[in-house]
Amino acid sequence: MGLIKHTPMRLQQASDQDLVKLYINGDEAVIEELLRRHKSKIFTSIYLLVKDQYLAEDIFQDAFIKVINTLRSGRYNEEGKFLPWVMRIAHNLVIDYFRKEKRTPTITSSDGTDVLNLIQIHEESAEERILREQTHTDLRKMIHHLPDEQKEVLIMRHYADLSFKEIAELTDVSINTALGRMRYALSNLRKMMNIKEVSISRS
Amino acid sequence: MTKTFTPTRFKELSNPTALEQGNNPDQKLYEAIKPKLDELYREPSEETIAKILKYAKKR
Repeated sequence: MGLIKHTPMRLQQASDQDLVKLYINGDEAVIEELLRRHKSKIFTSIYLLVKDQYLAEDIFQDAFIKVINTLRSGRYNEEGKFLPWVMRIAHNLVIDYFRKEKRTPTITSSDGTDVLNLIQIHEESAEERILREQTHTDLRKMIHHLPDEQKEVLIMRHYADLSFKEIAELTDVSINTALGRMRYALSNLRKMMNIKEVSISRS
Repeated sequence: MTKTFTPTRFKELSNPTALEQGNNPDQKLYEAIKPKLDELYREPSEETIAKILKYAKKR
């Protein structure tokens, strides 16, 4: 192959597929770039499905170990579709977890400390912080209140950044069904935001 | 006056990127809610990333 000289700048410009090829050809360091690109999308998607930071960490790690093992064994054949492929692996691990636990996602567990709370552009008052944390908690609860199929599409579309075609393939429904579920999810979220008086526009 | 049927809605529904690019109400609603949804992004811990990288480098 030899298409990419191994410098951080070059790696950032390379496609996912090029990075995957480099990894398969023995360049272990490129996995760091793949993680940098996709960790937030994949992790947030897992977290919003399982609602537990530590469990999400475990599933995220397991998903990437499966990714690495598959790449090493030469069984990877998803041309140019790295993110949907990883999301499918993560999604299956989440399903496995709920099967093992013999329970379905419900709105019972409390939320842990919000990592996002540590990242602030400006200093905020205690009152602002409490309000923001409450809004995040409310919003997470609203997402969890959505019917599972709507929640799934919303998470995959917004957080995992998958196309409706990819979501349709992953969830084994038609594109129209995936689109419809997204519409209902957004509409239901808006209704819940109105009830909870959560401002849609950024405060 | 004769009403004609224009399957615009169907075309929108059939388009996988309808929500991503159109000027339809769904797109507007999504754009309105998006900033709030974005606030929920989070990342795995450094420890988890380090474990994955360590595993990735073992052959």
